[in-house]
Amino acid sequence: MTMKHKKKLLVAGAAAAMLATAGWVLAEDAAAPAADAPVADEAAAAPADDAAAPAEETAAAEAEAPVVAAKPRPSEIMPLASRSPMLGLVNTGKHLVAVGDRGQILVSNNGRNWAQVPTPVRSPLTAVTFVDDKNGWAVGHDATILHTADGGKSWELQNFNAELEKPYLSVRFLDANTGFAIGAYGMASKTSDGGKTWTDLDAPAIRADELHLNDIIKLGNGNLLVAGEQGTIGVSADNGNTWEKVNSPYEASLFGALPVGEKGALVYGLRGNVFINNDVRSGSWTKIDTKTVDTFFGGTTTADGKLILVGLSGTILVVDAATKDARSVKIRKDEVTASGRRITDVVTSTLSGVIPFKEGVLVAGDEGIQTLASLQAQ
Amino acid sequence: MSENNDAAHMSRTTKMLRAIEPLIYAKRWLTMSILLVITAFLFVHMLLIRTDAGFDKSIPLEHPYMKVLKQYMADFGGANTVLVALIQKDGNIYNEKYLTELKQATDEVFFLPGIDRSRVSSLFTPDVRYIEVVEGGFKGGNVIPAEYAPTQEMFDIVRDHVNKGGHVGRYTTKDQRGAMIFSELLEVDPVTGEKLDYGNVAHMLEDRIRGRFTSKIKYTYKLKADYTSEDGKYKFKAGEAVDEGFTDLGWKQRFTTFNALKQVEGEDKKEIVPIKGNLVTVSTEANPQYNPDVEIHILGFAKVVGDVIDATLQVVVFFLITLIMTMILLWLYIGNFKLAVLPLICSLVAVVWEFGLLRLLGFGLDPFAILVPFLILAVSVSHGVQYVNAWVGEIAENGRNSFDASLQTWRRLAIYGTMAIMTDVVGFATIYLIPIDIIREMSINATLGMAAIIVTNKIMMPIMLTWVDIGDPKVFAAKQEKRDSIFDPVWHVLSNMVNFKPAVITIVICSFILGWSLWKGKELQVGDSQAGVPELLPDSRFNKDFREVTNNFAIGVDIFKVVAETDADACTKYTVMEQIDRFGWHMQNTAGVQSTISLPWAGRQVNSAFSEASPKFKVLPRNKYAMVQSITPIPTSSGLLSPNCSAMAVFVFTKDHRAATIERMVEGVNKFNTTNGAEFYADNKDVDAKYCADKLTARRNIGGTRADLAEAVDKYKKRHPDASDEDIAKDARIAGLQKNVDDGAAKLATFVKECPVNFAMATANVGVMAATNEEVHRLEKLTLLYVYIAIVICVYLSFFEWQSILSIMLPLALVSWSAYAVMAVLGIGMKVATLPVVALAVGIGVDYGIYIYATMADAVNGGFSMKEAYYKTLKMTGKAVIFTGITLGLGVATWLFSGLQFQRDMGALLVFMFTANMFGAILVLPAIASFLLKVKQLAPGEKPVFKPRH
Repeated sequence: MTMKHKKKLLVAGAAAAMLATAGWVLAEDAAAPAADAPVADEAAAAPADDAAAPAEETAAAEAEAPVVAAKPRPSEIMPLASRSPMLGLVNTGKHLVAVGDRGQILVSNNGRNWAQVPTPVRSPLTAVTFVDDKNGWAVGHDATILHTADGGKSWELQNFNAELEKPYLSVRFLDANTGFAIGAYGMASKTSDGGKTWTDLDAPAIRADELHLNDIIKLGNGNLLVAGEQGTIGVSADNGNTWEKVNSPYEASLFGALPVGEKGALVYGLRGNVFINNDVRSGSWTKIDTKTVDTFFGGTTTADGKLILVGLSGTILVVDAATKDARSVKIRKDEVTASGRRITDVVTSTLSGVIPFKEGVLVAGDEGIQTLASLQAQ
Repeated sequence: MSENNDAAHMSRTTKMLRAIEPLIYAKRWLTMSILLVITAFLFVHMLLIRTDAGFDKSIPLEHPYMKVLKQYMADFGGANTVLVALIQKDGNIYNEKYLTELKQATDEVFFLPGIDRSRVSSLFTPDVRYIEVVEGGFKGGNVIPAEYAPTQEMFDIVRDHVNKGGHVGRYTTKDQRGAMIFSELLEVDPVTGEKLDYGNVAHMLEDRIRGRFTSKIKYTYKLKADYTSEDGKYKFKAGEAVDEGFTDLGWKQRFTTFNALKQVEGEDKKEIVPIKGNLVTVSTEANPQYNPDVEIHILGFAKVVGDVIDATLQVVVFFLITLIMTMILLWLYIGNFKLAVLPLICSLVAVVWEFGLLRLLGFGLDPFAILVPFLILAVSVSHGVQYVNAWVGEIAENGRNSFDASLQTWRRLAIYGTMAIMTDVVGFATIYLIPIDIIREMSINATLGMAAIIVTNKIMMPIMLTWVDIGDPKVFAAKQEKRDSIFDPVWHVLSNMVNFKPAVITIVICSFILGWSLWKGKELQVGDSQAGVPELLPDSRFNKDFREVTNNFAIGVDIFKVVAETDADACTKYTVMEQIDRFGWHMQNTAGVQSTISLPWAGRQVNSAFSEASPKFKVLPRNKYAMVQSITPIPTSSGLLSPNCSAMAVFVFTKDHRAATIERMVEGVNKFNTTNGAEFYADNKDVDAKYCADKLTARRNIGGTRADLAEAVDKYKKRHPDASDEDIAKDARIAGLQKNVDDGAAKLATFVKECPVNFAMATANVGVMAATNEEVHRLEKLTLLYVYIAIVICVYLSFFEWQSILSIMLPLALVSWSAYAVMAVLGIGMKVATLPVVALAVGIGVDYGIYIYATMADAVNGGFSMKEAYYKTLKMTGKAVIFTGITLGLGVATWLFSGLQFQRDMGALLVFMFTANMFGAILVLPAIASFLLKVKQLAPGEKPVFKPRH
């Protein structure tokens, strides 16, 4: 058995055990996010703690720590936030907004200077989306969903459930009301009231296997596409009401997808695997020769239609959808040491998100937000 | 002061003096012979004295941080590191020649004396690993595979592993031109209990590692004749090679002991056989391992000590230059060669006694205490010159013969001189209160030297003077008269200092200087004020190495390690790991921090690796089993966690080790502990700060008792080299300590409730500096205060009048405060090595003051007017003070050309101290005294007389 499968069993077993012993926690917590005021939130949590003690002693003799419902804590404003791991970023049309580690959200007007804004959680945030220049959502670990109505300046908690031990990995809204958040172990939720209430997404086709659902995108024709573990590709033609699985070109993880033309898509994943077609339902895919085994974790489409992928080892791939040619570019940073020796360092850390910016792109990665000024061949 | 009291006082002291006189003057030959025999005996011991450097004694072991360091030494190492970087001039390290060299160097480091072999780490050691994500899971292994062979394919694999393992910037330079070997020294051999010889380690580093690859010549040492080892076990043939080396030993070869590796007959092992240097000849050949493309950089305390020891000869030469200069100036001053030599003989004998006594007490000479013998010399010269000067005065002015002049001088100066020296003794002894062993050693050292000065200057000197033949006293007196009169106009001018106007102006100027000093002195840096090692010149080999390493590696040599203290198996708990992770992030955000590494940091990477390297899973899993899975691949040899996970180290790599940087680290840790604790207690109502403080105390007590136990075991092993473990356990003291440890563990076990993670400072080199800086900061003013209190008491006992205290102490205090300002201006940091200097130098100033004040007060008391009294003082003792100040100042000024930055700094400081104290004594002291002393009202017709009041 490979290590990864071992892990799946372990985690599944553990999750089951936790669910069995702490069923009450889930019930208690489902109510918590509904409370708007943090004061009410704490009040709700306190009796829950007291109730926990006897229940836990009898049911979970093996568990060493008392299972206390973890409370969300506000993120800490830190000077180096913009250089810490960032996972997703978006251009709202007015601002640039980036999300990442420790519940951090950064905003910028110029792509160079980033300011951290307060958020109510410390859980790592994995993805962010905006429907207009005001309304946006960020999702992340501990099943966190945050909402902003002022273009990213302030964020309120719409969902938080640490005991679930699952992260949301992607979020997409069709309009200011209807949206989807998908995540690990087949977790998927939808809302039709702008996030005030989130309900389980009914989509057995893609959720039944409890695989990681890594990305949700809108195709050219408005259809929705989900890419996930074990080559999972799910499509919905009716705004997410019903889902079907389509033929996949690949059996291992797909970390994301980009729309191509009206009905087509590009999917990318583990070890440099990238596939493209003009109709996702056709079932036939063309493999793109990426000349790399580095995994891709994020992608974007430029104004002139180029497809950009980013991933492991600082790899940035530029794909021409028409010719299916791919070439890679790297971010370089010059550093002059105290002795005057110039070291040109190629960024080799993991990149996870990318958006077009001026002539080049902005990328989010392990070293924070970085700029690639030009996509020209180097 | 009434006449009666005065008379009683006089008779008492006079009686005492009369009682001691025969000891010196009755049987001069016998006394002198005894002293010479003792000197010869101590001289032999002086020759046997060894340099004795130590890392442990240079750190404040009583400081809480150092208790943490000792408690977790076994888990996380100490701070006594040796770093060896091999940097190629061009290209990358992935070629046969380089990697072979790196492997060989790693092996050489491994076999260095005193190396903690479990803590040698380089690309070639098994603790350096990588993790790689592949379809369906991940794989990991050693960076250099077991099947490594010098092929291009393998080089590519190694390069790949280095990149995947995240070792670039740490184990290799940022541009992968070079690589680093990390290691750590154990100061006490855990098997034999023997203390490490740092000089030897430094030599081995230079010879076996740097020399091996940078010397064109290889030296092979072969026996001149057949040789049988002392125990008769091993036989060598003439011409047999016994050792090899890569540095030219030159004349030192005779004094080097070579270590021959000899096959033990019938056994598959080799034994080291020591062979004396005079038994071997050296032959040279081209060094096959010579590689001009690679530069070797070696850093560490051991190397610094080695460099300082290597410079000892130079230091001694500078001492000699100072001495010879002093002698020549003395000759010019006294105009008689025999008399000029006497103070030097006394001073040298005092130093001989100092070293001899030091050795007899079981101490060695610390390379950082090389200043002390010079201070002894200086103080001794100062007293010697006064004595000879007074003696000459007795002959020239009062027309006495040698013997009578000596006796008269003794009667006049014995009390004041001895009290001045006693003041120094007390002052130096006071420094012993500082709880850092190296300073305590300096204190003992200086006190012994001072005691020796009493003997040489108050017994030997008077005897020797009685034997000095000055020829016709009248001619001698006339000659002296003529010489003296040259300076009379100067003394006349200077004697105006006691007039109202000049005195007031002087005091006002001094107040300004004091104000400036207090303001400027605030800029004095505690600790190091620059990068590198301040004891060595900025362009010394060591500091160049330091810069090369800092520039080429992302993670520098300055590490501040914080120990996250929690309960056993805590690393599987999300809540605990989250606190540590967040702590790391807070430290990362502290100005001056380059990066941080901790177990949660590593766990995040592993968790991500388990999730196909996805950055969205580079998080700490909430799930306990997933957490276990993320931690399991990280071995304890990583230095990130203790075996039971109750302690985890957070590595904070700092950009430099300047005091300001370190202060920010400390502040950051304290702040995090407070806020994190508050958050924790808000969530966990079952514990409070007091409970957790008690728990921490219990935990720290175990550390303390364990350290005591380990020390006792080391000492036992040293006393009984063949003792078995059972023998050791049976020892009553050790058994008692073992029980203490067990009791402590039981006590801690009663604290079952979880507490917030305690982030305990601190280990590693910057941790040690943090503790040292805090201790120095706490003690600098306190030490001076102690020294001053001691001196005030001594000065009072010398004169029994409050005027003496103000007159002598005020100029002295002014000089001390301005010394701090001078240090700030010169960029000399306040550190362990410099802490005692200002205090010690007070000792130089106090005898100037005592001699001047004594004469002046005597004269005023005898009815001389203030101006006449001071004129007389200048002629009698003042000129000797001026002469001593100038002479010693000039002598020490030569140190500014030393090859040791440490000596240069000390030279600059001492030049200031000697001259400033001199000016203080001859300009400021009379100005103050003129307002405090009362001129005796003479009866009509009464003539003023000058005589000692005691």
